[in-house]
Amino acid sequence: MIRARLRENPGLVLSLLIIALFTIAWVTAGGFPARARIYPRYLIGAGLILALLHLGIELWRPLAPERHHGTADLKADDTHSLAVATRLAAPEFGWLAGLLVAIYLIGAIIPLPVYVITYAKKVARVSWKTAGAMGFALFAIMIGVFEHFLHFSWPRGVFTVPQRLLLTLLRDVGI
Amino acid sequence: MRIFGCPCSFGFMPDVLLYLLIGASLGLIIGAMPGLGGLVGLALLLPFTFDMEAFAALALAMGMLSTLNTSDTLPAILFAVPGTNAAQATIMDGYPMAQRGEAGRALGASYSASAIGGVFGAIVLALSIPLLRPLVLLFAAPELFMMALLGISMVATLSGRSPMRGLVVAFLGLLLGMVGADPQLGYYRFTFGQVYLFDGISLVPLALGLFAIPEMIDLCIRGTSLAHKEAPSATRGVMTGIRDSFRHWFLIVRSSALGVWVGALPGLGGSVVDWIAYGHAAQTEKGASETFGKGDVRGVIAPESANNAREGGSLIPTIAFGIPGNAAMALLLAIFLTHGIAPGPSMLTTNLPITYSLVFGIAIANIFGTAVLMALGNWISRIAKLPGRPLAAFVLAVVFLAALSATRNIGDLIVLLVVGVLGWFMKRTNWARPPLILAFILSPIMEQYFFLSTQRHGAAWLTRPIVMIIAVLMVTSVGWGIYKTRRESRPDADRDRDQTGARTVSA
Repeated sequence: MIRARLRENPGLVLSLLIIALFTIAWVTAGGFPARARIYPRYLIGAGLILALLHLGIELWRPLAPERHHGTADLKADDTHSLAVATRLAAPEFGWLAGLLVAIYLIGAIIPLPVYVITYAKKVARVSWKTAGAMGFALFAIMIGVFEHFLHFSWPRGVFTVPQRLLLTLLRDVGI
Repeated sequence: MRIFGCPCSFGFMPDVLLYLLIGASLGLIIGAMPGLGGLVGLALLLPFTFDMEAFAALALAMGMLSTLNTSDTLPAILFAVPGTNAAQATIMDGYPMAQRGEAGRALGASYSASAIGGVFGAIVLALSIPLLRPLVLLFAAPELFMMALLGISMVATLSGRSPMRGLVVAFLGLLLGMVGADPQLGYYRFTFGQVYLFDGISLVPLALGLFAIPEMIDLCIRGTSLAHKEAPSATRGVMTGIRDSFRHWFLIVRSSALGVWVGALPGLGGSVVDWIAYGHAAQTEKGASETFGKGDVRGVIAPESANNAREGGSLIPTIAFGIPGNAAMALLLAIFLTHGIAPGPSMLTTNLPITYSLVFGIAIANIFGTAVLMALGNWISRIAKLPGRPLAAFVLAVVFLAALSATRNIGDLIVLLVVGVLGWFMKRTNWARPPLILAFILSPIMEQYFFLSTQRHGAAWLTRPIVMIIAVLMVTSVGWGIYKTRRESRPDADRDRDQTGARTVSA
């Protein structure tokens, strides 16, 4: 039955995930000192009961197509089913995951403009001129607003040399 | 005494007025940049104000605070990225309007509602300080705890035909808000040994992950421009939006009054007021259940008038009692103290000109900000016609930058990405996201009020009259939401609706 329900209403995956989270949090909160666990246990307990109640209602209800609720949230793009949309979204999230890894490895200053240029050229298929202008605009914001105005200390990354070299070069040329 | 708005002369010192307009211009810029916001802006200004004259410093700060909530709608309406936390509710209807090619109209409605709301807040501030003082003092920790719960329950009813989902998501937000050091004992909760989590999850990556990432990913998937349809003249759209605001003047008055009142309650504030106003409009406006969330201009007008009116309201506890209503007001309080101005009853007597200067400052900055944005609105709304994919890539890079600005920790980006996936899945499966963010913001405040209440009153705080009144309001709000859901989901209700629709079509 659960499998049929999940096919009809994939949002139930989130219900199950939340119940699992609440259960883990409830058990974890049991290990807190007495005063520190009062508030979390009250709220997590209430949340767990509500989540179970919600799951029960969803499973009990006769099978019916899922509606789109206007006031619930921004209207989702209905042109794709969840499965198709997930397949299409996966590479987009892949780009972001790649960007995250790059920032972790060499800091933020180089990967962010490179991401914009590469994505704009390879995926959005804009001209090199447009892609370069976008990357440069982002770089200008990063250096002009964040570096000079906000005195932002960029995350350094595991390999600090490329970012340090670039910042030194910029300082040497008076930027 | 040099003042920039004196109630006796209604005259302005040119140099101080200039600082007010500079502050307002900075506020417009910072408000339009997702991830920055009033707190960052004011924190940046703070060191510069130390060497300035008191009134110039206050003018600069008030100018900035007053216009932040006007320009924060730009990214909210065009990209579904809230410029500040106070623009989150505007996305609900502003973004669908932009997608429909009505960005100009949404912006026009937003600017005019913001200006009217801001001036309304300033007027109420001027009139109500002596009247509100006893009322604000009636709200202690138990009442404030209940107010926070009321805010969450109202937002949960925004979950359309599934208030239960809204409530479950709200509890998830409360749980996420508990991560980090316990405010009473300093005990680290749900950190699992991760240093990044010791200070809790940052609001900026959470909000950006929930709202910005899903919209940008969907924009990439679609591969179209932000506005699906051909936009009408942006100028005509802006004027239509302004006319919309005047047509719904009573909604503006009600939302502004809500904004002033919520702003005057310490601890609640910008992140809540727009949702409360939106919830109020969704519950009271005719046909809202059918049109809200799909690009109804009233869904833009209500939160925008409320969040600008809030600035006037949040000044009430700050200047009258020295209790900052939010973190930005705490920094404003620091500017007061740096220049030897002590908030308190003197602000209503000997320092009354300063109070009225602030009132005029809010009003002028709001009008100035609106005029500037109106002049640029035609040009700005064209952004919605740019190709979607490259635009999304650029915005996503800025989102990463904004997320990094929270704590400059790589952990922020991990939170951003994980919550981004969660937010995208929630969007696709019709789980409401707003209750999560609201509950997350209120979680630490609620916990603090809960402990203060129980330590001071035991369980007796539950029997306080205002607590009971708020509890009744809360139960009524949730009960009404569930009742409406059940009524609307009845098969005969569907049939009635279908028949009505058929009649309309055939007519």
